[in-house]
Amino acid sequence: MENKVRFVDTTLRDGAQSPGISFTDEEQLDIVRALDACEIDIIEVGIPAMGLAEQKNILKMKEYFSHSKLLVWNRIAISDIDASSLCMPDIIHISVPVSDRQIACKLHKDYRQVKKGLQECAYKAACLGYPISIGFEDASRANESFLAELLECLGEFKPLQIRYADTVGILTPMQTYKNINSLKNLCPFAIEFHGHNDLGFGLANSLAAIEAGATLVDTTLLGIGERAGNCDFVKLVQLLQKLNGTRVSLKEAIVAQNIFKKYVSYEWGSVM
Amino acid sequence: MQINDCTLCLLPRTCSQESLVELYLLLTKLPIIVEYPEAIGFLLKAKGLLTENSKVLSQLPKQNSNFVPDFGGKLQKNDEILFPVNDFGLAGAVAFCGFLAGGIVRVSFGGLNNTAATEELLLAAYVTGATKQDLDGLVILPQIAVVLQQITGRVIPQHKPVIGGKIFVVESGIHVDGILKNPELYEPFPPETVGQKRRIVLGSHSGRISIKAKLKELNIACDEEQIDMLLQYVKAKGKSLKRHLTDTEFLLAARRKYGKQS
Repeated sequence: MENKVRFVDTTLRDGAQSPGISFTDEEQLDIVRALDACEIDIIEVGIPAMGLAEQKNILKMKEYFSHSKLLVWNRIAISDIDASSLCMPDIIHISVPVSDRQIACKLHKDYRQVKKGLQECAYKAACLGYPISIGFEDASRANESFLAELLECLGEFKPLQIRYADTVGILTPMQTYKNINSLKNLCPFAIEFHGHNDLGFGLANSLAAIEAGATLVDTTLLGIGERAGNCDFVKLVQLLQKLNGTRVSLKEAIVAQNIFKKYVSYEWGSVM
Repeated sequence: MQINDCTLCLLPRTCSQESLVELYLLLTKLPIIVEYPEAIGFLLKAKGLLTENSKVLSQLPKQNSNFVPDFGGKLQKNDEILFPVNDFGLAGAVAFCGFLAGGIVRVSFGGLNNTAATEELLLAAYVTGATKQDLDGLVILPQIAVVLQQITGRVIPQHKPVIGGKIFVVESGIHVDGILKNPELYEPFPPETVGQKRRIVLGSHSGRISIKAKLKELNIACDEEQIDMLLQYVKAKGKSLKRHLTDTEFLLAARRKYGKQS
């Protein structure tokens, strides 16, 4: 089962958001080249809505893609989708906050408005001719009934996959298994798991999600990311290889990690 | 359900007895059983420091599990003390499974010597509500980390879960915005629970909201246009420095270039 797992690298999006991490344009290209050489399935490169400089960067990165697909991140805002279409990505990812906390405190909206916003953005991206993927932000603290409602309204847009994000890293492996397993019953699309390492379960949760039926997993090089980081790419490849094999070669993954090491402070990847 | 911490038994014999006793006193404040080597047992007894939640461990057994648990199956209660190896990064998960199943697990602070980490297990128990124990005591975790670093000479990585010094630092505009609205949006547990503090820093990922928050903190008034210019400056500076700006660096820029003091 595990060797079917596809990898979504988010080093340049979620990883790059963490404090003290910053890449020059050249470094970004080098990282893309290294990830593409690993034949990672999808590389999430950034957020076009951040502005012209980011859009120009993404267009430049495009030239280095030969195996992987280029994915860009969007909020539920039409202006974000417009900015993304300027970058001609392979996939437009639309991230929708789904927990009550996020919807009320961050967006100051309600379920109905969020659902409407998502539909409008999905429609816009579909009209522009882009394949879409949907991200359920803070899904681990959300009501399953709302997830079901969103999944139903997404049917006509046929997203490639649904990203289930444990945004604050509060899941345990057992809970991850339960949640993904139950999502599988509601979700006719492929499931992607996005974990964080706050309780030290970044890797274990990704494995549990795979066991429960997720077919895509988000990782970053050296596990960089907010707070205690994301799921570490090389560590996951290592683990899956031990269990059942992966399509990604461990050797290539380590090469990419070594290239990447030059661009972040030594704190990442060090052990006690 | 019991956590045995064997940190004291993993430290080299060359460690000074005073520092071991210091570490012992801190560890016994946590809701765990502290295992200590015979070598300091006499001293602890002589000083009257033995507590109900400490226990001598004359010989440290071999680590006994390198299996991958079945996360979807029924948890198996372990008969002997579960002492997981962390070769594949799953020791914490194995230990937590054993703990939830009602068994005894052996771990060490910071996951020293390739084991599961005491503090991560405690937090997992707290966050999931698996334990009803009062966890106020966790505010001493940073103190334990400091003593352990002094004894071992090893550095705790800044991003290590629970005890890393930078896990509650926020830079990206989108997260700063969220944290200011409600910290729970982007924090798994309040930093104060584990004796830490939340810090907002400026750098290449900052947004207008971060600049505004920092200006307010430093008591500087700027108009909207100046805030935009400062933001451009901070983003460029963060990118070229490859780190976040210190408050002093920002203060100087804000005063000299764009702002005025209120």
